[in-house]
This record gives sequence, C-alpha cells and structure tokens, in this order.
Amino acid sequence: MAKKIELQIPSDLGLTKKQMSDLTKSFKKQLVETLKANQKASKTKSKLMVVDVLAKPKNQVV
Amino acid sequence: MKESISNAARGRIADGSGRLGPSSICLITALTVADFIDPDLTVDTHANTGAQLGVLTLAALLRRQGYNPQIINLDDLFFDFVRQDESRPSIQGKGKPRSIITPSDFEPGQRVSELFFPFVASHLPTDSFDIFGLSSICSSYPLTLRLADEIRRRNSRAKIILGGPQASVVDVATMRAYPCIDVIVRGEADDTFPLLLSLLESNDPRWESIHGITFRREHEVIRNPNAPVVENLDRLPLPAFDLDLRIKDRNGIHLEIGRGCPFACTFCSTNDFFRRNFRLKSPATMIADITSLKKEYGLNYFSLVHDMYTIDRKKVVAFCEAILASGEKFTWGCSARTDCIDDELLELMASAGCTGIFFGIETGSQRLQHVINKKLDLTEARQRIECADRNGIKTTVALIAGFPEETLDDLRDTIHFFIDSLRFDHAEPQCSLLAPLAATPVYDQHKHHLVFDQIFSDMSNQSWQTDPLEIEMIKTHPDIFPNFYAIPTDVLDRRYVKEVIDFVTYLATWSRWLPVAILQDSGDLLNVFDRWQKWRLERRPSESDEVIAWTPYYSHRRFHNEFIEFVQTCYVPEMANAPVAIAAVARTESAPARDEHKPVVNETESFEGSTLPYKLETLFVTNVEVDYQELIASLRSKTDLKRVSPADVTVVFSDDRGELNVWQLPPLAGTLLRLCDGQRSIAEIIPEFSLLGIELDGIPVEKACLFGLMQLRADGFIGLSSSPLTWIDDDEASLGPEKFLLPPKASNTQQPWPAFRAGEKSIDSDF
Repeated sequence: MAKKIELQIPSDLGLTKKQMSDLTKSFKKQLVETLKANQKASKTKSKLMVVDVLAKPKNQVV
Repeated sequence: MKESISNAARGRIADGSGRLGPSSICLITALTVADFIDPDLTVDTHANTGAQLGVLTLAALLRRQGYNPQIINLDDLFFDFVRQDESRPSIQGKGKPRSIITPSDFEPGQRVSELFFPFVASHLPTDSFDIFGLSSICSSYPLTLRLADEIRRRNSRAKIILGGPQASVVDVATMRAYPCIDVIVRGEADDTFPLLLSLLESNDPRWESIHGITFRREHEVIRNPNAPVVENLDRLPLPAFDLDLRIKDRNGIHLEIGRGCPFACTFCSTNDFFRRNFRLKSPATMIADITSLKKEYGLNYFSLVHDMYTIDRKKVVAFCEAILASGEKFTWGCSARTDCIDDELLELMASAGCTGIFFGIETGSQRLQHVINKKLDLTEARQRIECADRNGIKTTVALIAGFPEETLDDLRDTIHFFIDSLRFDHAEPQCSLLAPLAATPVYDQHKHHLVFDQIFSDMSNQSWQTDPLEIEMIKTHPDIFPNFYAIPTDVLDRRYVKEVIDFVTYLATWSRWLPVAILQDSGDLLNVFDRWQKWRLERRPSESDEVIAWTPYYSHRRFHNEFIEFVQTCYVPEMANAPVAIAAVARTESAPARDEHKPVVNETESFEGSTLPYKLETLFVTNVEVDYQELIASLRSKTDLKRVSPADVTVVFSDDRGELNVWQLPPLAGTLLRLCDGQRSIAEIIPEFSLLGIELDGIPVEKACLFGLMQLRADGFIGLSSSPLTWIDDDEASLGPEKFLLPPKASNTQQPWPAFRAGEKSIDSDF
C-alpha cells in the first residue's frame, strides 16, 4: 500500500473553497460497507491446490 | 449402593491404605474435526477446538485420586495428518518432528480417508497403558470402535472403557457387536468413571454394581440403572487444560458453564445424556476459572458450553453483572433459544463481553417448528438475530433440512430463512441434513425403516470420504451407527434436499449479496435453483472451466464462476424483476481469482508531469449502472430493487488489514482511476481526461484532473512511480485471490468464534 500524502490543493492549484467543495463531490470515495471478516479469503487458492494434491493417487502426483 | 461404594473408594485414599495410582490410564478423545479438504481451514478450526471438556475434566478428577492420566487428542492427530507439517511437535515426541503421510503414500485409487486410521493406529501407545478410556461422538464412532479393536489386538490385558454421548446411547448394541470393549460408562461420567477405576484397581467385585455402566459378564451384557447427574457442577475441578498440548496456540477455549436442556426437540440427542436437568455453574466459579485461565494461558475468548444457556434469565443477568463488577476483560460466546432471550438481555450480554451466540433455529417453516417440537416463533427469531447483530454479537443461525414430514414449501421456508439472515453482517447461517441420532424421538419413531443411501449429513460424516471399512461397519450395524442412515422423506427426494443445502451453503460462502439479491428479486429461491440445475445440464463446457478433481462441486470456485454466468446469461434476461440491480450485484461479486502479478515500482511522492500514477494492485475495480450504496441499503432493508437509482458508478474493493472495504466512486473519479495504469504519465493523462469533455463549472480541466489524482492518492487508491511499471512473471509473486469469502464455520454445533488472524491471540483481545 502506497503511503498517503497530505494534500496541499488550495495552495498548489489555486482553487477557491467552492471549487474545492465541488471537486471533492466529484472525486471523493464513499464507503458503502465493510464486508464481513474475510481474512480467510487468501486461503482459497491454497485450499484448492491442496485438494488437488491430496486427491490424486500416487501415480498421478507429479 | 453407589454411595457406599463411593465412600469405600474415597476411604482408601483418605486412610492411605493403598495407592490408587499404579494403573496407567490413557484417555482418547473422540475425533471432532473433519476436514480432509483444506489444511489451512483445519488449522483455524483446530485453533478453536482443543481436547474435549469431558475428557479433561475426567483427567482432573483422576488426578485427585492419585492417577496420572495421559490424553491422546485425535483432533491433534488429525491436524497433524492433514497439515503434513513436520515442524509440529508430536504427541509423543513433544517437539520432535515425526514422519507424516505424504501424497507419495497413496496407492492408485486409494482414498485419503483410508490413510487416517493407520496413521492414528501407528501413534497409539497400546502397550504402555493398563486402562484405555475412549470418548465417543456419533460422527467418529466407527473410528473409535476400530481403535478399541486395535488396542485389544495389541494389548489383550488392557481394560477398554468407552464413554461419551454415542457410546452412552448405543451401549448394549456396541457391547454385543464389539467384544473388545469391557465397560461402557453412560451419561455424565464425572463420578462413575473414577469410582469404576478405583474399584477395578482394587479388584473389588462391587464395581459391577455401579450405576451408569454397561458391562460384560462372560457372554452376557448387563446394563445397570442410570447414575444420577452431577447436581452441583461447582464441585467439579477445572479441566486439566495443561494436558491440552496446544492450549497456548489457541485463541480461545471451551469452558463448561452448565448442563442439561429441559426442552424436548425431536431431533436432539442431548436429552438422554444430560437427562433434561438444567444446571449452571455459579458466576463466582465461572469468573474464578476464567481469571485463572486468562492468567495461565493468556486466553481472551471463552466458548461457554451449555446446550441452552439462557433459560434462566436472572442467572444470565447475574453472570453478566458479575463479569462487569469483576473488571475482568474477556469475550465469550454461548448458546440460546431465540424465545429465551430478549433485546435488553442481549444488550447486557454484549456489554459484558458476549461476542457470539449459537441460535438453533432448526427450520424456517413455522409448520415444522411444531412438528419437531421446537416451537419457535420465527418472526421473533428474526428479531433476536437482528438485535444481536445491532449489538455486534455474531450469531450462528443453525438450520436443518430433510425432516421426514418436510414438504417443498417447508424446505423453501428454511432456505429463505438461511439466505435472509445473510442480510445481517454478524449472522452466519448453516444448514445440515437431518441425521437420525440414536435415542432421539425422531430416531425412535423411524428406526425400523432407516435407509442407507450414502447421502451423509455433516453431522454424521467424519470426512468428505468415508473409509470403505467403516462403511461396512455402518452397513452391518444400523443400530450402532444410525446417524449415518437416513429417514425416508415422505415428499422430498433427499438427493435434491442435499443439493439445495450445498447450493445455499456455498452461495453464502462465495458471495456476500448475490443470494440475498436473488431471493429478494425472485421471491422463490427454489425456483431459481431448479432453473439453475436445468441451465447447468444444458451448458456446454468451456475451455476455461477449471478442473475440480475430487473437490465437491459446490465447494469449488467453479460453482461460483458458473453461477455468476448463470445469473448474467439466464437469470437476468429470463427471470429477473430488477435486472439492472441483479446485474450490478453479479458484476461486483464476479471478481475472479486475481492472477495479476506484483508490479515493479519506483515509488515517488512527486506530482510531476513525468510521474506515472498506477492503480494499486490490491484493489478490485468494477463499474455498475446503479447507485451501489442505494442498492446495498435496499438489500439490507428489503425494499424494492427496481427503485434503486440508475447511476454510472465505479465500485472499488480495498483490502484493509484483512477487512474488505467497499467504496463507491463518482463517475469522474472512476474515469480517472481507469487512466492510472502505470504506463501513462500525468502529462499524458491530463489531455486524455480533457478529451472527455467534462464541464466543471468553470474549473480548468487540468486542475480538476490534478485534484482528482491527488484525491485518489489521498484515498489510498493509486500509487506514484517515476518509471513505467513492469510486472514480475512469477507465480510466487501472484496475489491472493478472493474477496467475497466468508469465514468458514469452525464447527456446525458451536457458537461462532471471533475472527482470528495468524499471529494474534484474538482480535477481540482489546475488548
């Protein structure tokens, strides 16, 4: 994850407060929800891979 | 009679006339974990299990009598078997790596499950003990009996004693069929087992008079009257948790808070074991035990075991108030009926650290609620689940399908209840196929016409494949293993019921909102399931179809992919009432396993014309044609999906320390984000952005573009590179895949455990 930086928009871009407000509406993210704990998500791949390995009889295991 | 025998045994200890501990005792737990599929999930499940409380309590009681019992935890062995991790300490070697089964051990055509018994048998120290006590549960009873047989084969002198829920209720049939077993201790063994051992130890023939045992006298099986239950649970010692070799690895443990449920549901097996006699430990005992365990093992979560804890409201209040007064910080879970709990009590429980409740709803059909003698008001049940959710308490919403009297309408109601509960963030529904457990009313009613159709309930299946030898045992002894059998259903095809259960279970696993949306849109999930089955039969295989090997279809990602395809190509055009909304949900949940590779980035903080912004690789971005916030709100509140506003919206999923945040971006931000590909510089992006002809009320487009880039950067969606990105072409660098998975169920009979991340004792530890 890239490091966040502090915005210096008014001074850097010379925007008025109203312009800032309009642009913020046009660009700012809105949180919809935080999904249920999905910390197991990254395991899906390994899960499937392991199934394949375990399920194959000896003569099929590479 | 029992009292006098008991006093005699205690007297021997008190007067020092003989030490009771020369016999060596090995207690073997029943296998409770059963997942040959996923070692990683098994690891997590294992972190939440531990040796069974009954066995650990017996060990503590035996220590009081001077014995030094050893415990073999079959779940530990199962964990080692599945994990194949040589760095784990062995039960015997304590820290030494040991050989474990690897794929190279397979013979052609051999099943994984066939290797487990020899693995366990190879770890049984059969010659080292005089007495073996094996606990039992229904799902692993064939394994328990095989182990008993193996012990007898290798040690003809050992006393083999069985106990636990399953042996207690099929005692006579077991003794007749398995001559290797000497005694079965029925019901609560806390008094019976130590007494039995002490009398056997001293060759006191009065052991045959002990209540609560079934034993063999020559060729006759004798069943003594039941022993009384333990009325005062406070007199029992703290279980011998030090014999749980992995307790320090666990994020929480089970701890008994009481016994006995006074209700009489037709499918439930605990009535016989605990005699429907409701008892609780005192708050003082519980808090003292928890405080001690916290201090000793650094535990923060306690799964308070009781079949139905919240019957006596005043005692629950007293417990919560005692926790709050004690100042002890820990979290806990329990079981409850939705008609034995109220909103005020839920709030108090949450404030006292309750983070999980197991609600046995059993059926979503109000009609069946009466047939199975559960008699819950389902409207009230929904309200309690909702209230628990508001208070941040996770709920396991446990359902059963496949009752003999169940109709299609009943099944529909149950799966609708299942899916409907997904609207709540903290509810985790589960649905099991009915298993006729021994000594239950439903078994007694149907025991003469059970069928063995090999459509196993997860309550009666110790793995995804049952060892063929155990299948033979089950076929030979339906009276010992009835839970592996089925009660014929009057109306429904059990194969259909089983597939419906798998369908909804894995829909809920692979998706967050899609099943809720389709239920809400269609009003009849069974109708959708029927169409899905037909569509699947007609579907032509695609080259991109993943090979699922032996993985059950619905648990494989291929099901998820094909169901998304079904929704997009069949459900939306053919069946949907709100096609735009359903298409939006399908699109956001269609995120395939990411196969992108990690980029090589020359990070910079400078917003110069030559800087190349890039979308962070941890994001998943998609576009939908409705207001996504409104859509989710509509799903939560069950309002008309057709009324969700159309909009051009970009949805971004971002992973934040294991949690998945879902963001909605306005159209301009979404457009700009798509231009941030790590190949275009800011100087190149600005003119492309300008070409879109965006009107911004007098604000110069380049300023708007720069503002947008800074905002995306501040929002954590883009990074900045001083050179074009390149990607490592290496599988090792590929990213983890899915986003929509819900946590797997730790167990189908336990209250939900708090989420657990590797390396942490508990995420709730800061409670």
